[in-house]
This record gives sequence, structure tokens and C-alpha cells, in this order.
Amino acid sequence: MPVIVESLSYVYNKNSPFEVKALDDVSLEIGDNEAIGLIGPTGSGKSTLVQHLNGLIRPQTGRVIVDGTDLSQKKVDMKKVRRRVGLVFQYPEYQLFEETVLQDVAFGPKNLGYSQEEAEQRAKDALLAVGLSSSVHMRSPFDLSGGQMRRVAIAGVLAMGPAILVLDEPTAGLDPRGRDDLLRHLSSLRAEKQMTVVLVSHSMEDVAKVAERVLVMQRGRIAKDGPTREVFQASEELEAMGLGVPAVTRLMKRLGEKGKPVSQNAITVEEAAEQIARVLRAGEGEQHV
Amino acid sequence: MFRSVIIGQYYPVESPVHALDPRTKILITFAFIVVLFVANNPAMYAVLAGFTLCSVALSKVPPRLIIRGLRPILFILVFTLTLHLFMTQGEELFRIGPLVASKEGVVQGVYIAVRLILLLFTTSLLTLTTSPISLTDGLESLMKPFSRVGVPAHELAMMMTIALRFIPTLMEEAERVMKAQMARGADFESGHILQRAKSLVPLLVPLFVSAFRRADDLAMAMEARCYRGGENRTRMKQLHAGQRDVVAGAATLLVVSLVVFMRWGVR
Repeated sequence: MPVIVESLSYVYNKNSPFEVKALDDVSLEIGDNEAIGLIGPTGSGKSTLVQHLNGLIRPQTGRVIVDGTDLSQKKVDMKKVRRRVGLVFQYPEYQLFEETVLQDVAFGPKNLGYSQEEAEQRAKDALLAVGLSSSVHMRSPFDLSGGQMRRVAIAGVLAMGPAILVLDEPTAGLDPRGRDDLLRHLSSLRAEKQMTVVLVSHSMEDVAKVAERVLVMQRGRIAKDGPTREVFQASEELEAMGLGVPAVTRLMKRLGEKGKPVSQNAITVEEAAEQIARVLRAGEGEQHV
Repeated sequence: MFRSVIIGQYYPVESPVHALDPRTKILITFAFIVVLFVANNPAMYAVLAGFTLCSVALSKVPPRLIIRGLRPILFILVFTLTLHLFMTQGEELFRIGPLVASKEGVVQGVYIAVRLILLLFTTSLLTLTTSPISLTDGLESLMKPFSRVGVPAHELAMMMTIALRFIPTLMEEAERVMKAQMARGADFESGHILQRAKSLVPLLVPLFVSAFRRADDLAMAMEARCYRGGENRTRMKQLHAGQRDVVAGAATLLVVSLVVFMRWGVR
């Protein structure tokens, strides 16, 4: 079931000298099993938007409909909504609190009313899904490395079995390997559990790797919405917003300007490598003839 | 949820009260609190309330904001009011079972309530009109004379500056952790008192962990910049008491002596 956002606006500190307009007439639809990248400069309303998706913020004007439930209504079973839409905040490792990893991950399912055994089983599955072995189950979450803590925290949301997983800057502060691992797990989660993944990020590389559709936000509005490849073609426009495109996209563009016959729509390193290899091979061929 | 806590918040506008030297404001508040406990009849309270209201009006802080600050102490207000109503001996007004409400109790209760309200108004006015930095500068300068007898004036002031500085940060953090736990289905609002206290664990543990982490980082950052206490430290902004401080001081002195005179002067 999709998520529908209809002309949503939100103002922080309404009617005070600190008034800030965070969302301005935003409309969008998120379908099943989509992989969406949400990008935008700091303060463009990304976090405010994603907090609307699971009812942490109630709509001021406009509507948010999750699985046919209108979140602007007074009587909404929020637990049901939060089980459908899992939200992983920025630096989620700062929300860990339990004595053992397993207990911490089981916190969400237990809140949903699962029994101790069921909750633990879900926790174990979730930990496996983020690539943590059973050796960490009984350890204190505070003894783990930063990347492991991050994955435990994400497992804490996964264990609730959401149909839509929203992650706010999940790779911030991770080392390259931690980052690659995490993104790989996200992609496989989407493939295996038919999940919709919404990735909020400042890293265009991460977005290029995971997302098939990109939403660009600017000053509380959706400035662009389209397939990843298309959105990243507008590099000047994105750069004017203080964003950018993946480094390899920039490289291919430069190569194109130099007259090399490479396709300019490569957005990942692999695609770019393939393109460049093809051109090089073709060049070698010519020399030999 | 944390919006109603206004103690320690600063409301940045330009007003005669904001422009006062922080030392003047601290001394005035101190004098006012002392006199508040001297007052014992409606006329005296009227004088003091008038003084408070004038200060609020001069400060350009919206009265709504200050009144909202009463919310956290509402329980204490009602509690003391009821306690005095029933515990004071005197002329019977009405009774509920073995509890006798007295006329004197009403009077006494109202006095205490008014005293608490005025206390909160003036102290929040002090922090609303004085930025945390200048507040602690003022305190340090006032405590300086006592450092001869071993009071660590600078250290105390620094501790206060840091504490005040981190109130909003910790509140933001608390709100963030709370939202993160709510996203995991945590419920902070329902259940009986024991369940609610228990539901705070997922909020408090991360909050403490991050507070300690922040303290470590801050200590390291201070050391990296060669902080070594207040010895020979000079200031970028020197405190200056000017004409308006004299006027404010004189006004306060007038009110204080008026109340003292009303209490002990008329025989």
C-alpha cells in the first residue's frame, strides 16, 4: 500500500518570532517496493517531511495517508502506523539503552505487543539482516564499534517489520567499508522483503547506489522528482542548490567535453569503469588495425 | 513537551531591562526576593506586584511567555494552597469530613501562592532579559570579593555558564531521543505512574550517555585551548554600570524601604 502526501505544509514555532516554514505545499506518492533517495541542502525540510511519514509530526495543513489511514485525523492508531513505516534517525546509535544488543533490538517488537520469545526471534532475524552474527547478541551495545552500533540501531527498527524503511543519513560518520556494507544490506533487504526504502542523504554516491528514484527538496518544496539517472543529468541545477552529482558523473561529463565518446549517464563507479573500458578497448582496436 | 520550561531561556529583544548591568539585575532580584518574604499584608503585596508588573512591561517580554512558565509549578501552587486552607487554625469556612477549611487558611494560602508567583515571575524575568553569558559574568563579578575567603568564584561561574549553555542542547537531544524511541513504538504518555517511570529508561539512558560524552569532549576542547581557570583572565566585554542602573537601583531601594516601612514603621 502506498504513502500519499497531499499539499503538506508545516511551520515551526508558529506565531512566534522564531517562526520557520519547513514544508511548503509538498505533494508526493511513494509506491510499493520503491527505492527513493531524498536529497536537499540543510534546512530544506527533509527531516520534517520524513517525520510526517510515521506520524511523529502531525500535519498542520494538508494530509498524509499511510495504507489508507489519514494521519491528520484525531483518532489514529499510531503504533500501527509506526509498525508500517520504520524511521531510523540520524546517528541512531545514540538511542541505544539496553544491557544487551538482543534486548535493545527487541524493544520495538515488544512495544508492538509481541511476546518475549517472538520479540527475540524478530530481533535475531533483524540482526542477521544487517549482517551481525549471533556473537554480538549478549554483548553490551556500548562496547561495539561505531559501525556495529549503527547497524544494531537500524536492526531495532527493522525488527518491527516495517513495509517502508526511512533512513535519515544512515552512512554519516561511517568508514568506507561500513558504508558499503550498510548500503549493500539495504539493497538486499529491499529485494528480499519487498520493502520500500527511502534514503535521506547528502552523499550523492550513496543515493546513486541505492535509489531508483530521486526527490530533491529545496526551501520546503519538492524541486525535482524523477528517475535517479535523469535527476543527476541536471548537474548545474543541482550544484546551484548547493548539492552536486556523484563524482563519477562529473568525470564522465568532463570526458564527454573533451570529446571522448563515453555515455554521460553513468552514476556509479562500476558503470563509469565499464564505459571507460569500452572506449579504451575501442581505441586499442583502432591502433592495431 | 519542554516548551513550558522557561527558566534559563533568554528572550532577545532590546529594552531598558535588557540593557541593565547584569549585576544590577541580580542584586535587584535578590533584594526583591528578600522583601517578598517580609511582606505580610495585601498592600505590601500590591506594591511588590506593581513593581514586578512594571518590570515586565518595561522588558518587552510578552507576558504570555512569563505566564506560561507558571505551568510546571501549577501543582506546587495548588498543593500549598490546599495545605494552607486546611491546616491553618481559625474561623471555620466549610468542612470536608475531618478537614476544616478556615478563613485564615484562605488568606494564608493566597499569600503563599502570590509569593510563589511573584518569585517565579522575577526570577524568570532575570533570565529572560539577561543572556546566560552576561548573567554568569555578573555573578562572577559579584562573588569576586568572597574569593579571598576561599570561594572559587570563577569556577562556580564557569560551571553555571556551562550548565546554562547546555540546557537547550540537552532538551533538543531529549526530544530527538524521545522521537527515536517513539518511532520504535515507545509510549511515554499512557499507563500508571510506575509504567511511566519505567518508560523513561529508554530516554534517560541515552541522554546520560550523551551528556557524559559531551562533558568529556568539552573538557578536552577546553584543555586543548589551554584553559586553566580564572587567574589573570581578562575580558573582551567589561561590565559597566551606568545611569540607568542607578535609576533602577533607586527604584528598587524605594520599593524595598516602602515595604519595610509598611511592615515595621507604622505603629
